Amino acid sequence: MNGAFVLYVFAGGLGSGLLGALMGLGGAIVAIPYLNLLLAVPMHAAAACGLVSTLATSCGASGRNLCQSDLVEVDAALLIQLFTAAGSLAGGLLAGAIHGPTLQILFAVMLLYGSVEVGRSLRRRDIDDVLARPPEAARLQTSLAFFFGAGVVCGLLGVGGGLMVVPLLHLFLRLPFKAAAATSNFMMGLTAIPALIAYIGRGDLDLALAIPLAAGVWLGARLGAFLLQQLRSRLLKIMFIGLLVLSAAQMALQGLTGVGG
Amino acid sequence: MMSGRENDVLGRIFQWGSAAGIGVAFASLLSLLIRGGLPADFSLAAAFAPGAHFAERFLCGAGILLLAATPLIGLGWLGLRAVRDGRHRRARLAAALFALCLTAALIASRGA
Repeated sequence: MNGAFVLYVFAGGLGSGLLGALMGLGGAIVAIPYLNLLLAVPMHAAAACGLVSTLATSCGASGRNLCQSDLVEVDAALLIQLFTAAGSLAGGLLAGAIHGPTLQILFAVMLLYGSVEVGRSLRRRDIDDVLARPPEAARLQTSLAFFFGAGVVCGLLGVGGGLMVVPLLHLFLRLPFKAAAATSNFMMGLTAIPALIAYIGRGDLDLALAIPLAAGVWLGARLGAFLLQQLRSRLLKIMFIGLLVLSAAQMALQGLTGVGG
Repeated sequence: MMSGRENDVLGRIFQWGSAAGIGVAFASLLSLLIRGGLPADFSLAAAFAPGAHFAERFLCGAGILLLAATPLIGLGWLGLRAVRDGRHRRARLAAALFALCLTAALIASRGA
């Protein structure tokens, strides 16, 4: 470990925080491959750092979103988070009972479906201006089963919930895309804590990596939260569709080759 | 619905809690790097172990723990505020979420 390596980790954190805050995905989706593939950090250490990056994105982005905009739906987020976290806990306990590769392919299909639906919403240019804020109570109640299901799938696969939560918030709960991303970021922090404790218990969290990453991610997330308010929803959605398709392809490949199942 | 003032306080808890944790940890890590005291295996247990450069290592560990605790501090504040204002639904929701997080953390730490 030297100064240059710390700088590389910090720079990677900036990028992950920026993208995580813009898309509502927590940041680990970029941080883990960056550390593992580019900096040759072992996977378990990279995954532990990914959770720290999710926490830093959530805190950095939510700090700005809550203080300087009204994008975060706190009451809805608390209720949804309860069901998503319960589902994730159930999924974590069930992990191993369900055929991993089949689940990965199913998850990839769901992500592709999500990308198609987000893509369809692009045709209606004004959709983000007419959606209900806060979400309608009846719609919120009927959506809870879906959020529980999303939590189960995420717990089973050990992936972050943002890829499923953001489309559900936007398409099913009909929150504007920016509010969906900001609300998802607010929820992510709490989701990451239990898994982080498990990694700490195993001694997998390397502070020499986690600290510069968290510092970069926090600053990136602040910038991302600022840009979230400035950029057009249409551009954000196009970026989000790209990420969904990439993640679906990666998940399908893992499922078909049996890697990571 | 959250009021603007509540949003603002909650946002400040997220912002300053995490900034303090990360800032202290990062400054201490840089100090360790400069003084050549960075352990080869810098886990959280190593951060709190007695020995050379204890203060810097301790602050690195404490900073990351403060970052991890920040969302829970925010949730706790929301719950206490809801109890004080008589908003029982939100108070129950915050308490349930807090309990779920602690249960999940307990299960995760047992499985570790």
